[in-house]
Amino acid sequence: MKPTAEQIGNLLALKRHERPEEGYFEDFLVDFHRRRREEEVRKTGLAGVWTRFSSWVSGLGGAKWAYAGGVAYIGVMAALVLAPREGVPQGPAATPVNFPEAKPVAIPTPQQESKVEQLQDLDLRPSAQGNRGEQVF
Amino acid sequence: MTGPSWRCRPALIAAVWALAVPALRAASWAATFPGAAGQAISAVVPVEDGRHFVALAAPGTRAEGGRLLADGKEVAAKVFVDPVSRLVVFRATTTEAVPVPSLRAAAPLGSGFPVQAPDGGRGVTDGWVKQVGDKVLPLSLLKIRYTGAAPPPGTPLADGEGRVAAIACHIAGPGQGYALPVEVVRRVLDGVARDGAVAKAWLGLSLSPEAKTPQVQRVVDDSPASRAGVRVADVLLEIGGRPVEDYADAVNAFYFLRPATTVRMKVRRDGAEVAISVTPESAAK
Amino acid sequence: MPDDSHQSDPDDDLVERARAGDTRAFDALILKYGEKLHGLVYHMTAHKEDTYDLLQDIFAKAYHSLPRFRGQSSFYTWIYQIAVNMTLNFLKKRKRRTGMSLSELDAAVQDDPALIDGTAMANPEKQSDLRELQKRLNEAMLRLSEPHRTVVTMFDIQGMPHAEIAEVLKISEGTVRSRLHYAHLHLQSLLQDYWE
Repeated sequence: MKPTAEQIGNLLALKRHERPEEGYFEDFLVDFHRRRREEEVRKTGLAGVWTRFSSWVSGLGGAKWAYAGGVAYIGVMAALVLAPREGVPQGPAATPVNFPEAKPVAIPTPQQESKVEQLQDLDLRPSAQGNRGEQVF
Repeated sequence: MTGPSWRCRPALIAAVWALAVPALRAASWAATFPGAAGQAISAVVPVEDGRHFVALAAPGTRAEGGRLLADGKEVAAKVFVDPVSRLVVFRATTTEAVPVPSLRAAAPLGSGFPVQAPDGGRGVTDGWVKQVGDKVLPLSLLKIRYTGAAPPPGTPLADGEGRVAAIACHIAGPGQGYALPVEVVRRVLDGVARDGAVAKAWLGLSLSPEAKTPQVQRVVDDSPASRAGVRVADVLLEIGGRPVEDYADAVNAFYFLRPATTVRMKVRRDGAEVAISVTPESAAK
Repeated sequence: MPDDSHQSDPDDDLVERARAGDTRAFDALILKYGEKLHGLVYHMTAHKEDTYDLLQDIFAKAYHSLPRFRGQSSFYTWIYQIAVNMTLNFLKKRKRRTGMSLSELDAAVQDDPALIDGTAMANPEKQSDLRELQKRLNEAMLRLSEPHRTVVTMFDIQGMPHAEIAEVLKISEGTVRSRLHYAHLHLQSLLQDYWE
């Protein structure tokens, strides 16, 4: 006796629930990225170029960074750059963010003592001053 | 000082060999920028055709006064400056092309990504910095933790395959520094190649740095933003493909906009997501 | 047939970001569609290692072709097409290359720990009967021609509607239906000895 088309269909539909083992795709992703990196290296021989570039740089001689005036200057800069304050968010959002429902702002009220400044360039010295208040982009 | 090995492999260098001044044997390259405390030194990164060099003008120095040096001697070069990132591009006119490392499309987003400097120094990405104290940065920087000392500004940092991911810019403490993500370098090179300058884009919308969410406070009349349909109270969600979570993210995203290049933005308006196409103008000087 | 060319692709966001170089967005797409594509490839090839390698190649192809994807169809349809084409090419080469006997493949299918049957059956007796049937069904599937196996995998196993199958395979819906019809007939006769 033959199975009916419907019975065949049901049997086949059971296969819908078949899936690979736990962790299959975690490993898959790691492998995926490794293969992309290998492709890059193979395609353009980049590792070779970086090595050549590095030896070009090291051809600068032992005292490459020890220009006396330069190092002192950089040392001064190091002391002056502040560390970021705690609690500053990490960076571009990794996951979609749900914003609280924003109510339309009637008129921007002038801040009493707006402390936040917008730097116009990457000058991180304590003396650097940015602009306060509303910023136009 | 031994000559670099690349001189034996001209085939690998994209540019045509210049009729080089015989005296110029590329060995020791650097850039200097005049400042109150003397000349500040920057490392240089050759890019593009091997005759463009990227360096960083330290804060407090005059970027336009930058000089490109080979073996301590000045090389004739045209100087292009991006005042925001303080990146400087030297276009050398009278030298042989030098080997050019590849640039990644973008710096890695996450933390814990290993990077290496040309001298073998190593570090690891440690997130991003968007604000220092009360001052919001005009673009986001990568934080790097180095196994040794932080390298000097202008030092390229590459990923495991030798592609430049960032350029060291500030030293933030022992073994710690900030770096410009490579997309900033690309932005600058793009501007220099196309317009001979890095033109700032302008939309005509305003944000408040104090607000918790990046919400449009004001739309300037007859501006790209108004023409595109941006409205007061729109909350910015995404700008030119970059997700925006707060004010500083928006500032960073705006840095990458180019005048006359249309971008897509996403905003939240009355609880719904709205897609907007906007074409920035050039910011008036 | 309603014109849904204006419907936005739910993957628009991820695709845009992936195109802009956000590798995590592409990772998210892999995780989203990995199982479905695994199902397609595995039921076509009946070989665990080949499936893994093919999946790597499929996602690699999609990754490199992403700049050329212009939203002419949904991302899912597009990558499904890549998967079907690469799998069929692989099967052609495999036939020529190894003349792989059915028994080699059978072994892979029968005791394959990679496939977990998610349908827990309470009755162990019934379960062993079912297992036996599934084995026979897997063998029967391998006896189908590639075009027939493809439509059976997509329709019966993955539950894809006729219209979508037609779009992916670039054939008419009528062709889909008739292929399915003949494929079912073939499977019915192959299984008749094992049916009670």
